[in-house]
Amino acid sequence: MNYISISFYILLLLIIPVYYLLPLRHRWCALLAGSGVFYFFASGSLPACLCFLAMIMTGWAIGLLTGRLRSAGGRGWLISLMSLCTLIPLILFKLRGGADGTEGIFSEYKWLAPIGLSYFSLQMYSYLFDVGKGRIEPQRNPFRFILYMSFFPQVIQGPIPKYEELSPQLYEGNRYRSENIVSGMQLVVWGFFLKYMIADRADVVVSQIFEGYMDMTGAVILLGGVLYSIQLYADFLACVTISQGVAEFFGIKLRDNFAHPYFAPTVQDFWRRWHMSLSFWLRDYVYIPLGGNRKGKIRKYINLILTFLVSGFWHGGLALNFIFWGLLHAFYQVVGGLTIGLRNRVLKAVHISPSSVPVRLIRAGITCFLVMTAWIIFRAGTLADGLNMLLIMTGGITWTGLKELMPTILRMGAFMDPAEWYMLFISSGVLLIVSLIQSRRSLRELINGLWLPIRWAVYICAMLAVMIFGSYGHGFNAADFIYGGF
Amino acid sequence: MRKHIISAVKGIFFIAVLLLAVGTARSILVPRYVYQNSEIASTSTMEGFYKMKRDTVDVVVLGSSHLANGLIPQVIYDSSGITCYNLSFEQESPMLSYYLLREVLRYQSPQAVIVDLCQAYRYTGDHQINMWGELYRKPMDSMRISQVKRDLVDDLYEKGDIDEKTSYYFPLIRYHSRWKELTEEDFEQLLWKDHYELMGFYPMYYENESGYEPFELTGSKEIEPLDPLMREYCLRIGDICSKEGIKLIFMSTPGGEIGEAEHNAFAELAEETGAYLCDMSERSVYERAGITEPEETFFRPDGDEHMNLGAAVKTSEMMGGILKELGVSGHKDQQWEKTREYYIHMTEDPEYIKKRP
Repeated sequence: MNYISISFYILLLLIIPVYYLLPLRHRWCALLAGSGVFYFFASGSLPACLCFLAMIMTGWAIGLLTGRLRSAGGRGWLISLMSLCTLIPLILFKLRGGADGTEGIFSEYKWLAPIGLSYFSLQMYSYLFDVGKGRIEPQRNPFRFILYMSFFPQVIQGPIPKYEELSPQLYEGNRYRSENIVSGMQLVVWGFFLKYMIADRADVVVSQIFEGYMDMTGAVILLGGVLYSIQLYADFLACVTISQGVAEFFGIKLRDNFAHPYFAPTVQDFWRRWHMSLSFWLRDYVYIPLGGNRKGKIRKYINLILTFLVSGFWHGGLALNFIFWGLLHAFYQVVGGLTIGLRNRVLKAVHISPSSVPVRLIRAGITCFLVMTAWIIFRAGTLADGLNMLLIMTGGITWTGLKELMPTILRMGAFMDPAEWYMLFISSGVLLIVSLIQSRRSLRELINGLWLPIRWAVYICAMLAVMIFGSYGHGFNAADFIYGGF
Repeated sequence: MRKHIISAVKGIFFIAVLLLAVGTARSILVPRYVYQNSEIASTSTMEGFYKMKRDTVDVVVLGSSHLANGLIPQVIYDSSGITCYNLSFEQESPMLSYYLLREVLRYQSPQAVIVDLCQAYRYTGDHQINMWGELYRKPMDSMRISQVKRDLVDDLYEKGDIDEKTSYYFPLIRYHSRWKELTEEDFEQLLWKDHYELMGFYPMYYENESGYEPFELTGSKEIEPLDPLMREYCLRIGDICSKEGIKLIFMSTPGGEIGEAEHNAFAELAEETGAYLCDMSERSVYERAGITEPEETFFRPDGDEHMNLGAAVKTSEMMGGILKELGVSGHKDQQWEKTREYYIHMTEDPEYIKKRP
């Protein structure tokens, strides 16, 4: 069971009426039961489920102990140590792969690893950290704590919630509002559009290019990098959007995880817009505790490098391409920070405003290129493959090659059927237009303001488009959500 | 409360409109194999079966294309008064026949079942199901959702079927990507009239110069073993028939590979299941049918083993006789009375059933 399986929506059809039929103060029990069923079927492994439960109960007990220690004026170092203990399973899990992509230590115990470990470990750590700091009170009811940790729309791949944001919505119960159902449906349909119309279709091409890059030209590798950037964004956004939509059926609002990241003018800004729940977690629980930018420029950059090192490790353990990817992003930001003054002075000298539209467009384009370059390393099987791809790409691109690339691909039907290519272009265009509208105003409000028959026509067309033109079922390899693999 | 009722009504109306839209998309995208566009009209055959009144079919035929072209329900009815429906499909193996028999029993109480043994030998290499995937999907896409279908899907899956299970219940999952291949005909067929008059039979119109020489029984004890898995399904069919008190008839039509050793394997199976064996490759049965070549033939000029209309008429008349001998009683039924006119048109005009709409 996963967020795009029919069985998940059958489960949802069972949970929703039960939730709204229960008395308000007991509604969280329906969510708890639903989360348990979902986790069991999604995990498909009883030992992993038990491991998950054991981790939650350990976290709950540490939370209570931390609360008592804090109110008794207990030792800060002990509280921090106990919080860090909850990250041990995650660290061990990340160590399962060797640096060269081979099986490493603990790999033989991976069947014990609960799904969503990478996400709920961070969620638990942030809870314990905040309890330790006195920002929140520990949850005394173990069942309520289990629900907070396992809330099914977000347990597998986030967004990583903050306790004070999510828990009141879970525990207090929400009254039935048809608007929530409509809103949830809008998000779920949009999520499916992103997944089936863009991400999985792009995956068909991306997989072929990355697996056979040795035989590709520089222009084709560039195309692979661009498509992977689109695929990864659409895929992850799809999952989060579906999670938000499912949560909205219960009147629960999950935090946004993206804010049009490819419109970011700098790499630093990109990280304020991409996987925001992880970025903010790293900022709040790694970067700031390390000292942040409060201890001088050199320490700031060291902290930045360490934070991105943690990010690389979180994504891929000891695999060198992920470590390199993290360090590359740190490098971009250090260089960006060191040269920002110089760049602004140059612009001023030639009388160009840094906030003018052409400059913003160029900066966004450069940022996209830098991020895309890093994504190639991220997607490649090994660091050597990633670097080789970049080498071929930078050494092999010619203007003629770029100009002839798409016409040749479409003429030859390379990588996939030309009709599929056109559908990918159209769908990506829809994503761009939607993003442009959303960066100014809420698209959903715009749709909600339409005359009912037109609004329904929009919904039905969107659903039919996904059903008919989506890349799923026979002839397509059903791709899991990419970020579920981390 | 009033607000909730209004929103519920709106929701129901929305779902109805959505289902209508999805249904239309399904009609266009999911291929339909009907008289107008196919040699074996699988969709018409399966849908037509569900349109029959309950408990009106005396005999059901379950077989491959050999019997789809070989047994004419209208001729059986006209010659013997026995009502018959032919649920034969391309390459239908005993495995599919077994599940189709279970499906039949949900709607009908036949006195006899005729099962084709053509696919009791393996024709598809290592492919356990002994039918190519595209072929078993054809009838299955029109099969109603039930426990029988669920069991069949599970069984197919166990035997290495690669389609998604859910696609059998929602065929749009399987065929949605046909949007790239749609032609004018896919849209036109929405306007075609559905025809079920032939009740699973599909005629072939051709003559063939070369004659068929049936084999003669010499008393040889040699046996060419049936495929074990297909044999297992034949036995299961036998179990159902004996439990339900249904007369079972195994049938084999002439083909290049059917000789005495194969006949002996069929006979052994028939004995084991208490079935009647009608092996038309054997001289006495072949002569009983009274086939007059070349007007009536089992072979196309290219060697393909399918009966033409003339041979099918003779075979059906013979089968009507066999059924009567086995004690199957007929009854007058308006469903077969009404289709006679269509049948006569079809015999007179080879293009009749291709006409649209």
